[in-house]
This record gives sequence, C-alpha cells and structure tokens, in this order.
Amino acid sequence: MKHLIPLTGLILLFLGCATGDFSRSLEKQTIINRAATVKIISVAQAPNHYRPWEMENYQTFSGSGAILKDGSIITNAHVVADSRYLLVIKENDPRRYEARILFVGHECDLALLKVDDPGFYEGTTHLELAKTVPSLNSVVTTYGFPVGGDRISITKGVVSRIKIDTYVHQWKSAFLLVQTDAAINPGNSGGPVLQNGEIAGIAFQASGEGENIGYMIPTGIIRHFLDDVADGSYDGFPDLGILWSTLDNQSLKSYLNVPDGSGGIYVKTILPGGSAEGHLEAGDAILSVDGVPIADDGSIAFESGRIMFGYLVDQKQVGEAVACEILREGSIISLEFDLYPTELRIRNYYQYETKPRYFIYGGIVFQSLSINYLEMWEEWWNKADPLLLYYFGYNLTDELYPHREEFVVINKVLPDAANLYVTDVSDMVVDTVNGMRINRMEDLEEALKQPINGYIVITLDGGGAPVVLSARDAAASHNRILQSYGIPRDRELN
Amino acid sequence: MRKRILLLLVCLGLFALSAAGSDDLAPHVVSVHVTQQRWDHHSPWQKFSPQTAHIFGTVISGGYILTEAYPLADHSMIQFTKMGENRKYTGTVVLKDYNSNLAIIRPEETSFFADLLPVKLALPGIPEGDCTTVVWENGGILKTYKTSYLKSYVKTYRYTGLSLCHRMTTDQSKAGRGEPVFNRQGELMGIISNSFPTDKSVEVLSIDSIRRFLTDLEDGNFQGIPFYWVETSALKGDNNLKGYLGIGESEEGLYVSKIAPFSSGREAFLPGDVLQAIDGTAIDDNGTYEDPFYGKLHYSALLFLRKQVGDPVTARIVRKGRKREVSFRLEPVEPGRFLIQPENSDEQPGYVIWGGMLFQELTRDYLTSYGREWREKADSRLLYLYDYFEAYPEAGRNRIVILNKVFPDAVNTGYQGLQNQVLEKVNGITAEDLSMLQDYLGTCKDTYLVFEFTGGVKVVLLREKAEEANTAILKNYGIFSVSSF
Repeated sequence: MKHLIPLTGLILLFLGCATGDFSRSLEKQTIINRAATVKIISVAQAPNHYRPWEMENYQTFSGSGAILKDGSIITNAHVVADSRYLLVIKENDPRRYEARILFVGHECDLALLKVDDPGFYEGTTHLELAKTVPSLNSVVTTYGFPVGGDRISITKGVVSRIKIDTYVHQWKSAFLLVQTDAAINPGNSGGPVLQNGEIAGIAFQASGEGENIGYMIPTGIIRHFLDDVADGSYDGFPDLGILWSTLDNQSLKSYLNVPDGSGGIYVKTILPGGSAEGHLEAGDAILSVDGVPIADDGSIAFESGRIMFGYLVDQKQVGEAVACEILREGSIISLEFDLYPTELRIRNYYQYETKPRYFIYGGIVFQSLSINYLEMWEEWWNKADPLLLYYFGYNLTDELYPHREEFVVINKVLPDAANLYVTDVSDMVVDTVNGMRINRMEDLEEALKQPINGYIVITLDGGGAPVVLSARDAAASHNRILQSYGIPRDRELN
Repeated sequence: MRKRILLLLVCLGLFALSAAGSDDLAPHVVSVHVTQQRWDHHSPWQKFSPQTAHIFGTVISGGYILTEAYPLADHSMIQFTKMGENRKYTGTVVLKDYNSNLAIIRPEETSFFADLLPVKLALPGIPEGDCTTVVWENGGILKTYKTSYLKSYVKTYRYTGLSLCHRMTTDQSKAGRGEPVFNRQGELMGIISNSFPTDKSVEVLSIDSIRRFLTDLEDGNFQGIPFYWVETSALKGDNNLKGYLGIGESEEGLYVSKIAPFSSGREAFLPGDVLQAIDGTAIDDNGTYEDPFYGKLHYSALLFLRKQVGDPVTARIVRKGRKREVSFRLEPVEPGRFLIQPENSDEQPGYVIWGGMLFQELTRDYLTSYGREWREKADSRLLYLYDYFEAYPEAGRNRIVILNKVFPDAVNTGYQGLQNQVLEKVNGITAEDLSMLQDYLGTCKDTYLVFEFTGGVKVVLLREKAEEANTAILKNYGIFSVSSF
C-alpha cells in the first residue's frame, strides 16, 4: 500500500537534468514496467469468531501485483487473504481475468497468483528481482493502483532506512524491510518498487506515525518465499524458538565470563517445541550464528551498517541447520541444530483461510484462545477479559499449565432447557471436564463421554462453582440446539 | 371515625417533624476540613499536592465526632468549624476503621463542645417517614434536606470491609460527605457516604453499622470487622449443580469454592461444601437471608452486623452429600497477612533503590495509582496476581516484590527497559518481602547480585559497582532517600 507522490520539484529537477537519450530509455523502461504491473481485485470472506460456524459478509479489496518471469504474479498476502474470488486487471485491457492463488505466505506478506487464461499474457512483460538490497538514499519508483482507479500510478522516492521490523499483516514475525519516503496508500499493496528496471521490493505497509514512511519487502525475503515454494509447498520461516535479551551490561558479561572483545545475546527462555529445545538452555549466551559474531546489542554487521542477528536465521529455510557458538557455564561450545517454526499454545498472530476451532455440546460453545478470539473486544489489548489477556501475554514466559497445548475457552452458552442455569458463563477457560484435564479441544470429545454420576461437570480457571449439566438432558438437547440456532456443524477441529 | 384517625396521624407527624427541626439538629452537626496528601505510589519517596475537603461530622457522647474513614486517608491536617462560625479548631484522629468506613475524631480543645449536643442513636430498623439531613454549607449557612428510605444492602469494601447501607432518596445535589441523617425523632439513623446524582439518591451507612462500631469501641479494645474471606457462588436454583453436590432440589445454599488460609472459619469449610445456614438462620439460593429488620440481606451480615470478633459461629453445611454442623470463632482482620496490601494504609509505600532499580511491594494502591482506568492500564500479570492471590500468601512469600522501574545509568545498561517485573529470587534466595530484600542487600558480600524475575528475566550486577553507582543515581534523579526503611 503506497502513497502517491506528487511530481515534486526534486523529481522535475532530476528529469530536467537528464539527457535526451536517458529520458527516451527511461520512457521505454516505464512502458515495460507498466506492462508488468497489474491490479488485483479480491473478494474476501473472513470467519466470524463470535459465531464460529458462520462466515462474515464478504468484502472487496484491491491491490497491485507484478508479473514474474514464469508468468506468476507476485503480490501481498494481505491483498488475497481469505479470498473467495480473485480478478486481475491489466492497465490497458478492458477485460478482467480470473486468477487463483498458487502460494501464500502470510508471515512474509507475499502471495503468488496465476492467471490460467493465456490471453492474459498478451502485451505483458515481466520483471526480474534485484540481486541486492537497494542502497540508502538511492531512488526507487513505485508502480501500482492506489486508492482504486484503473490507471497506473508511478511515484518516486528514496530509500530512507533499512531495518528489521514487524510485518503487520500476520503480526507474527519481524523481517528485513526497506523504508522509503513515499507515503503508502491502500491499493499500492503488492505493487513493485523498481530500481534500474528490476524489482527492488514489493510495497506492503505504511507507518501510522510520522509522514512519508512507507515500506517494501526486499528481494531477499521475496527470494526466500520463492525458493520455499519451489518444491510445491509453503513451509514458512524457521526461528530459533528462544526469548533473549541483550548482553550489553558489563556486570552480566563478566558474571557469564564472556571473553574479552566478544559480544553476544543472553538466552532467557527456551520455547517448548521450538528449534532450540534440547540444544540451547536458558542462561546460555549466544556468541555467534553461522560464524557471524553477534554484538552485545544483538546486532551483526550488515552492508555498511548493522542489523539484528535474527536476519541470519531469516535467511534459512525450514529444516536447514544453524551453527551457534555459545557460552555455557564459562565454556565455549559449538552447536548445530535444525530450524523449524515454533508452534504456539496461544496464537499471537493472525490466521487466514482458517476456520476457528470450535466444539459445541449442550449449547456450550468451546473455542480456542488466540488473538482472533481476543479481537472480539474493541481495543482488546486492554479491554478484553483480564485473565485471558494475562494468559495471552505471559503464556510463553510464566509457567502456566505446562500440560496445555491450547487454552480452551467457553465463548458462550446458547440458552436451552438443558443449560438453563449456566447461560451466563462466557469467556471462561476450561480446566477439566468430568475430572479430565482439557489440554486441547480434541480432549473434549473423550471427556464428555464420561459423565460423573450422570452429570457433565466442567471446572473453570479462577475457581467458582463448576458448570454442571445433566448428561442425559445435554445429550438430548444436542440436535435441538444446533437446529434452533442454525448451526450446520457441532465442531470444527481442523 | 376514619377522619379522626387521619387527623391524629397528621398531628403526630407534625409533632415529630417539629421535634426534629433543623435548628434542633444543628448542634449535632459540625464541619470537618480535612487536608489529605496522598503518597505517590509510583515515586514512593514523594507525595502529591495536598488537597482539602469539607466533610461533616456528627457529635456523639464522650467528646467525640463521628465521620467517614475514607476521606481521612493520608490526612495531614484536620480542622473543625461549628454552628456557622468562622473560628477553626484543630483536631486529631482517635480511630480510623476503613473496614467499616467509620472514624472517630476530636477537637483538641474541649471548649469546642460548649454549644454542641451529642446525638441520640436511633434503634435498628427501617425509618418511618421522611428523614432529614442537616449540613453547614460554606459561609456558615445551615441547610436542611429531605431523604427517604429505599432499600438496604450489605456493602463490601476492598478488601475486608463490610457495612450495612441504605439507599435513600435525596433532594441534596452534592452529597456523600459524611452528612448525618436524622429520623423523625431527631435521632441519628446513618451518615451519607456516597451519592448517585443521576437518580437523586445517596448511600447511607446504617445506624446498625455505627452501633456495631461504637460497641466494639466500648471496652477500649477495638477489633473491627471479623475477617471472613470465603469465596462462594450462589446456587441460584441450579438443580443440576445441586444434584451433583448431592442435595435435593428444594434445598438452598451457597457453593464454597475457596477459603483464604487465615480467614475465620478456615478449618470449618472445605471447597465444594454447600453453606446452608449460619447460627440457625437459613441462607437461600441467592446467598441472602431474611433479616428481622431489613428483609433480604447478603448472608455476610450474619457474621458481622450483630457480632464481634471472638464470637462463636455455627454453620450448617452439606459436605459430599451429608449434612453437618461446623463451628468456628470470628477472628480479627490482620492486614499484614495479605499477600497484596490493602489501600489506605496511611503509611509511606515501602521502597528500596539499588543499582538504580526501584523495588516496591505490589499493593492495591500501586495498581489503583494508574488512575480511574487502572484495570486497563496496569500490567496484566500484576492484575492477575491481584485478582487471584490477594488474600492467599504463597509458601515462603509474604509479599510480592516488584521492580517498578530502573533509573537509567551506565551501571544498569541493558536493564533499563525493565518495569513491573515480579522478583522471585536474589542470589537464589526467595524474595519474601521488601524488608527481607533490604536486609539482604545491606548484608550481602557476594561479588555479584543475581535478581531472578518471573518469566526468565534476570538482572546481574557487580555488587560493589552497583552500590557505588546508586548514590550518584539518587542524586541525579533527585531522590533523597535510598529506601523507605
């Protein structure tokens, strides 16, 4: 999503200084670039997390995309997320072409599309990816279809910063991104940002603070995505599976016996099920990754400056090994282990093309706690249920029910004769059902089959009286409740 | 005949009204000017600006003034005026009891009482007809307002307070400052503690609570409201739950879910019990009982309203489907035993600064200092501890020691972003409370100090370097004392 830059004095001046030949070649290049830039219209439909058996009304979004050598179209994942119907439009062609998604990587906000109609490719060109990150203060040109409109918009800006920051579409990871002084508008998303006729990046997000701060995905991340899907499936980005802090306190360094002149980071927490489990330990200092020394603030040398060491891990594909030099109890140890993405008990990133997990029994709607669940509250980050917020915020660090693979929440109770006295239960985390711990949604099915003395007994985190239903009444109510509340399926556990 | 009765009633009414005329009531009411200066719980070495409030007191026998406790929190000055005069008399607090929101104060000069009269206390019960509130407005004007009874209920205060309150209508626009409420006989039937301007009503601390408070005082050994922290849920007619608990559908009561380890009755109850009666008075499915004076009241009134600390209590419970009687004695509130301290301690919040790190104890005041929306602004881990562990000290931990913030200095580089962290251990020793931390830091001779916080956060500092830097940090940030101790 990129903002139109009006023709400012700077750009006019630049054009004015150009020679005739240069301006002709620039014109030619512009024609090529335009013919490789498309507009994308997506009709998207997201699930309703409050009534997880339903879908929300559909919405139409538009973005931009670039045609690559193999005819596929690269764009942002957020342009095509939850898409039900996808159209691609060329600038000078009145036809609309249906497209399909080949691959989508939500964490890196990239998607690859394909138009099956061969007629689409008539008159199109394609773009190559630049080999390097554009240098600071170099000029880049954005092509796309911002704020609607069927005519292409071309704007210029300079590369104003290169850093690692959050990719907000999924809010899952921070990767390298390139900032330009071109502000960003909806509709630019997914469009190419070009330099010397090559893709320097894909426009994708803008800063809400400050002015003229727009971002593009650099080619390193695009290549990672393309290499990843080359085998026919998207695996995503691996991570170390640790929480860490800096080592820039000299007392801490001397306490850990970090050798003079060496830097590193301090491992605070090993995430269960993450890549580092069984290899790294809390209290280790990581001195280098793949032979690249890490400074006390967690940075490594990069281009002419520095960048956070996570950049090295982001270069890897899932299943690739990483080599770490660590300091443990005063000794330096070299370790190598394979990298995978870490599965989280409470997803703190957004999910797309995925239906919410739910299970309904006796009118009780069980769901899985995630950011999508909390988003049902306006300003959820401080207004959602405080216990749920605590679990959400601290489940990775505090020892919260280590046996739980997910947190099962009673969203609400659909009133029926079978549950008359428990209809006010909502947003409560389930601890046990009929004496059995509920560590994941799938456990409900088994536990509900074993009532205690004819009663379904559900205990909740935070104490209070258990939720009790008559097992016979609950069983008898099942179909009646589904029917009267218009629920096609009693569960979605995928 | 009917007319004659009506006439008689009107005469009686007039008589009563005249008996409680505002001029007659004026000598019972005094103005209290309280200067409060609250501690800044986020910078605990300093106080906020002083503020003065005008509240009211009621003259009771023995040369004392009765008023609310909450407006006296963190007071630095108390002054009295009376009978519309400008002369001010300084005063002192005899007793503040936040658990009943009542306080006894008195002027330093006994001559203050020369033209004042102690009030007569009404008997318990719903007042008949309209009541009267008399206040001295600024400028020494005596104002009279009419109030009438709506309903009664038990009010709970954080964290151990209980009062019997009445909701009453009022024609007073700005109320809730300890104004006395008189019945038609001119007797004190309560004092106003709160107002609800939208529906023109006020909350009145009942004469029952006032009498209880004064009775408690009589023997010179004030013990306050008994401490009873038993978490319950009303059964509310839930026949499934009753069936599971092994009681009949017609039986009523409360489900006991959690008992604070130092509550009265801690040995009498178990989680899962159904509480059905206290001293023979039945508790219904809503957790209420039928009070002889006020109708349905929350059952906790049975444990404090007409009882004092030390009194025996017999409870009827159902445990695992079998009825039984249990008995216990009412014990006093011991605030020191709470994991998270209550508000209005009237004391400086404890703190220790070491290596630029500001350590405090998690208290209710600390959390509420975030302002009106404190529940939204406070850290969710601290809020969780407050919501679920307030009255439940853990083994080996008397208080929750927190790192409020770090005053940036070269010595604490790398830790400066830490805030609201819960301290678990120092050099492997459990941080029981702030005074233990203070002692440890003062006596430790180890080269390093390793602070371990909940969630894997660790701070390591060279002891001598941190101690050396601390003095400069205090000076740099204008903090005159290294700790509150």
